[in-house]
Formats: sequence, structure tokens, C-alpha cells
Amino acid sequence: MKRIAITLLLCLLVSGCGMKDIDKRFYVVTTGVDLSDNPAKPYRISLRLAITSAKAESGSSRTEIQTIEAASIAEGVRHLKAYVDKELEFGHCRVFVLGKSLLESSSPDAMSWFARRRDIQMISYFAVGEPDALSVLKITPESERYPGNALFLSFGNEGTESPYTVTSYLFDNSRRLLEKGIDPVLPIIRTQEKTYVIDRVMLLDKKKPRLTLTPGETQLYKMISSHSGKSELVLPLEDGKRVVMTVSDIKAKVHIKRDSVPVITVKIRMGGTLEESPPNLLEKDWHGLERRMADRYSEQMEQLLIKIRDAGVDPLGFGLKYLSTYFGKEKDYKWWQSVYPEAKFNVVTDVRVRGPGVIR
Amino acid sequence: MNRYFYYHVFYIGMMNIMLFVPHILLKHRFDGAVSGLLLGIVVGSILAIGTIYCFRFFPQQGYPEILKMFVPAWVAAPMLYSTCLLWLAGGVLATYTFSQTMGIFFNPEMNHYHFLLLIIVASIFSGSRSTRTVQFSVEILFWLCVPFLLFILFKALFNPYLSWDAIRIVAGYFGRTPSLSVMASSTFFFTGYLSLTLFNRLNPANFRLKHVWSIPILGAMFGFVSFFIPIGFHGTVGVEQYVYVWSVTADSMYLKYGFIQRVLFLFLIMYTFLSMMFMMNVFHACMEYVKASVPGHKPQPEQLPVPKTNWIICGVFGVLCFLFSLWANEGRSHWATEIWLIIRFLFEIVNLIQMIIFAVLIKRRSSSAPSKSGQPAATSGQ
Repeated sequence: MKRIAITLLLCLLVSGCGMKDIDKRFYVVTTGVDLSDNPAKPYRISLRLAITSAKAESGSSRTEIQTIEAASIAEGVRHLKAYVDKELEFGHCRVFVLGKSLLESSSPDAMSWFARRRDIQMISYFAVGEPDALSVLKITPESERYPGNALFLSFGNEGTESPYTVTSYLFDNSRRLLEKGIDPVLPIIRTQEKTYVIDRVMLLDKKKPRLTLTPGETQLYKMISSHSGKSELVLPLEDGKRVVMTVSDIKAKVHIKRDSVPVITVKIRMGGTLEESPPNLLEKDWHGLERRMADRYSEQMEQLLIKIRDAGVDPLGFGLKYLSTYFGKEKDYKWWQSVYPEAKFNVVTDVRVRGPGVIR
Repeated sequence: MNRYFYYHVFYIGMMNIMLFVPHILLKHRFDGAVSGLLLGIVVGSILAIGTIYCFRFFPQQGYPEILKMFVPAWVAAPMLYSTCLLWLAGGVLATYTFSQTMGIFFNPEMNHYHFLLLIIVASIFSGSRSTRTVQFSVEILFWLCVPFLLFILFKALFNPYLSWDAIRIVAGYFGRTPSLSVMASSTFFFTGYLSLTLFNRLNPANFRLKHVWSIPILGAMFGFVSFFIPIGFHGTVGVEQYVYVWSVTADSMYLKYGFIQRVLFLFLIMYTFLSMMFMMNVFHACMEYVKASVPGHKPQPEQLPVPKTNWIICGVFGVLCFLFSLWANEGRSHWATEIWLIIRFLFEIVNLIQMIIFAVLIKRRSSSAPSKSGQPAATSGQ
């Protein structure tokens, strides 16, 4: 009995320190980092803090934003603690927004703060804010049920499953920043009155942004990068009408042949049902329609791949694929870097239309 | 009785993460880690299976009893002390890393000595029980771990973000010669068999370990999983930057439909169990070695109630853990762990040679004076 009592007493002693109750904490829900005008303090850090409440109705989310300029992100966050009355807690901060100008001018090494912090989840989302991160943070969508939720739901197919929204996790990005043969990708969040629009993607090399894709290209990119269903395939007809197919499943395989220049073959198989089409078109020429859709898609995809290649980035990891196919070492990677700008693409698409939908 | 042996193989195979084995292997991923892992399967299996066969000649006897049969007590005592010291060092290093990991990922604001105190108190209590109790609690803790282990393994292997390309690239570097520290790390996955040195006391006289073939398979699985999965998540280059590489890997998985999003917490719970198992066994084995070094000591694997000496000895071990953490920091504990792994590897080789010599000696003794029962080891029973 005495022993048990002593052990219990020891436990009491242990749990007493270090803990802080929920009502003494400020939960950061979104963090934004921008470039400031002040060269001595180049970073402008903005935190969106949740004002916790028991209500969880649409429109009841309330937040406040704190902003500071600092020489580094860590110093800024430390200094911000003096601006608020509760302890800052990053454990629930799932979205980090980087300003566009920041990415263009600053080296990615400064970003190591995110990976180094132990309470920041490696599965948090990263995005680019346009025009800057602060304006993205200032948006408060009407439908938000609890603070910061709207952005959490936008990514990772958690709420909306948009074919235009590319998700980028922290661990994936920090791997892509260092890895040979694959480059980082960040979705762009634009502001529009009281909502976010996330339908573009920014492709970066190891140092700087190189290319921004249009919404149409972003969808194409997402289709082969993350094999996402729920996207669409469009075929404009001669008479101005359009055939639209919803893609329910898609598979993409990459083969790389070693030649004087590498030949990258992308084989895509997809299936789906028609969502919009002139009546009876499919029954007239089922295979012909499938082939025409496939050819058009291949052509679009090839143009996109060439555009990405000419920008000098490799977000789809062709270099990595090449190295892994041939068990490549340093020398092979050097060769790859020298010939990638001339690489040839060959996209083969196989479209299977399951049916015309509910009507003929 | 077979299963009790394999529990030890399992938890030591998984404990490697708390002893920086993946970190050491990943540091050498381009110069010899892959070949080290392959060679480690061969060497580790030879060490394990060889020792298991030698122990067949000594039913119901632990290493201290065997040692005392062949060498005088004043030689046996220092040998037992050094073995004890070796294992205790492993336990001390594991507690330190455990308290650091918990401090970093569970509650960064809490003093990490508190975590240390918690695990040491628990280890002192559980380690000082009788051998039979320890054996049974290993079983319970093992089955508590299994669901977590399978879940995390499943989550990792079927994760769309696991890059098999990166894994293939690193696997391509198999032609390099491994260094000693890589070999020492890659054979650690097989070290679970050493539990026989103590728990053989509990095995019945006619005990024959079955499914020995599974030891190379299990060890290889632990090795490949703890080495390649972090590469798949963090890339061939990025993987090097993380100190607690497996905690970060677990954090890179995402639970969409769970109560919590971070797999990290499940991982930490599993490692709390595993560390607990490891500490309990280390404390218990070391305590039994110290007790056996006294001349005329008779092992009592089912002793109840627990004598005071058990508490005192385990208490001293606990104090040593604290003293180490006063001295240690991250760099020092890395350095000490690397050295410990190498010493452990050399010790295992010496141990196998020693056991072969003892086995040959006992065979000769029994053939020169055949016993009535015909069983070679029955003559040497206590």
C-alpha cells in the first residue's frame, strides 16, 4: 500500500508542470509569410488565430490576425508572443501560405523553420498566396464552421474534390526541394471577395518559381500526377458543340528509353461516362469517339509536358524515374540533366467510355 | 514455449529505432548500407541460430549457470558484470532517446527529466519482478503493440506518397563494402535471440525451439522496413536531414477518418510499449546477472514475493540512467550509441565462440562418462 501511495504521489509531481490548459492557448490555424519592404526585416509573418467558442455553426467562426516584420521566421514568431495574451500553439496549424514575392526573392533554406519545428505537422499543406499571403489570411468565408476550416477542407480531397486543386504536403515539398530528378510544386490560392480560388499551380526548380500553369493545364497536370478521378475530358466538335466526359478512373505509367536523347513514354488509361453530348452521338461511332477524345488528350498532354520541360523543371519526377529504372548513380544524373531539355515525349492515351449517362 | 522466444525477437527487432540504427544506416545509404543489410542477414542469422543450437545442450540453464560450470567463480563474476554492463548501457541509451523523443513530440514544454523519471520508475518496478512474471508481461505488451505495428506498416506501404523510385535508387547502391558500424547496426535486428541467455531457465527440459527458419525472415523484414520506408517518404537526399527519422516518417502519414490526423501519436504509443518491454527485460536480465555472480546463488525464476535485493539492484540501474542523461546531449548520445552497437556486435561474436566451446566440452564430458538417462545435458542439471 505504502509503495503504491508513493508511486501515485510521484505521478502527481510529474503531471504538474509543462501543461497549459486549452483556455490559455491561442490556436494558430493559418500562417502566412510574405516579403516586406524593409531589407533589415525581410519577412512579414502573419498568423491567423482562432477565437475558440463552443458554437460550431456555419458562420460562427471568428479569428484574429496578427502581423509582424522580422529578420527570420523564428524571431518573428517569438516576438509575436508579446502581442497576444495566450501561448501560441502550432499543432493545429495545417495551412501555410507563402507570398508570391517571397518565393521569387528568398532562398528556400529560410523555410527550414517549418520542418524543424517539432509541433508543426509534416502533413500540413503548403500553398502560394496571390497577391500575397496576408490577403489570403484576411478572407473569412461565410460557410466556415470553425476557424480555418475552409482551407483545410479545400486540400487533400477532404471536403471538395476539385480536379484543379493540387495538394502539397510539407514532407513532400521538403523532399522535392532536395531530391535529384523531381522538383517542388505549390498550389496558388487566389482571393475573390469572400472565398478562395485554388485552381492554378506553380512549378519551381530548387531555387525559384519557373512556371505557373493555367487552370486547364493544372487539371491535366493533376490527372497524371495524382491519378485523380472526378476530372473531365472535353472534345469540341466541328459544329461548336462539346462532348464532356467525367473521368472516374485514370492510370498513368511512365517508361523512359535511353537513347541519344531520352524518350519518355506516358501511357494513360482512363474510363468514365459522358456528361454532356449531342444526342445519339456515342451510338453512331463509339470507338471513333473514344479515339478522337484520346488523340486530343494526348496532344494536349504532350504540349503541356513540353512546356514544363522548356521551363527547366521536372515536377513529375521523370529524372527520378530514369535513375530508378537504370539504377543510376551520379554520372547518370549529370547526363540526364544535360539531355532533359531535349527529351522527347510520347503520350499514348486509351479512353474507355462506359456509357452515355442516363439518357441516350 | 516457442512463442515466448519469438516475442523477444520481435520487440528487439523493432527497438532498433530507439537506438538510432536507421539513422546510422541512412547516413551510409550510398556507401555500404544496402550491402550491410544483406550481409547482416547472413551474419545475424549465423549468430542467432548458432547460439540457439548451442543452448540445446544446456536445458533449463541460463548463461550464468553455464559459465559457472566451466570456469571458477572469481572468473565468472567479472564476466557476468561486463555482460551486465553491456546490456545496461543499451538500456540507458534507450531510456535517454525515449525521453528525448517523448519530450520533443508529445509535449515540448515539459521537462524531459519527467519522462525519464516515469519510464525509470516503471522499469524499476517491472524489471524487479520474477523471471516468470517478466515473461508473461512481455506477452501482454507484445499483443498490445501488434495492432499499432500492423496499422502503421499498412499505412506506410500503401501510401501513395511513398516513392518506390527513391527506394529503387538507393537499392541500386548495393555494391559497396559496408563499414564496421554499418555491420554492427544491421545485425542488431537479429539480437532478440540473446534473451535465451536468461529465459532458457524457464524452458522445459525437452525444449526444442521450432521455426528457427523464421529468424532470418523476421530480421530481414525489420531491417528493410526501418531502412527503406523513410527513404520512400523523404527521398534519397532529404532523408539525411532528420534526426528522429522514424517519428518524422510516421508524422508524414495522414489519418483521414481517425479521431486524430497524425499517425505520429499512434507511433509514439507503440514505442512507449516497446521501450517499456526493452527496459523491463534489460533491467531484469542485468539484475539476474548481478545476483548470479554471488557464489552459491541458485536461480529462482518464480520467486514470490520479490526480495529486497531486486529493488535495490534495479534502483541502482535507475540512478545510472539518470546520471547518463545528466551528461548526455544529442551528439554525445549518438556517439555513445554507435560505439555501443559495435561493442555489442563484437560481444555477440565472442559469445557464440564461447558457447560453441562450452557445447563441445559438455558433449565430451557426457561421452566420457555416459549417464543413465542417455541425455547429454541431464548430467549437468542443477
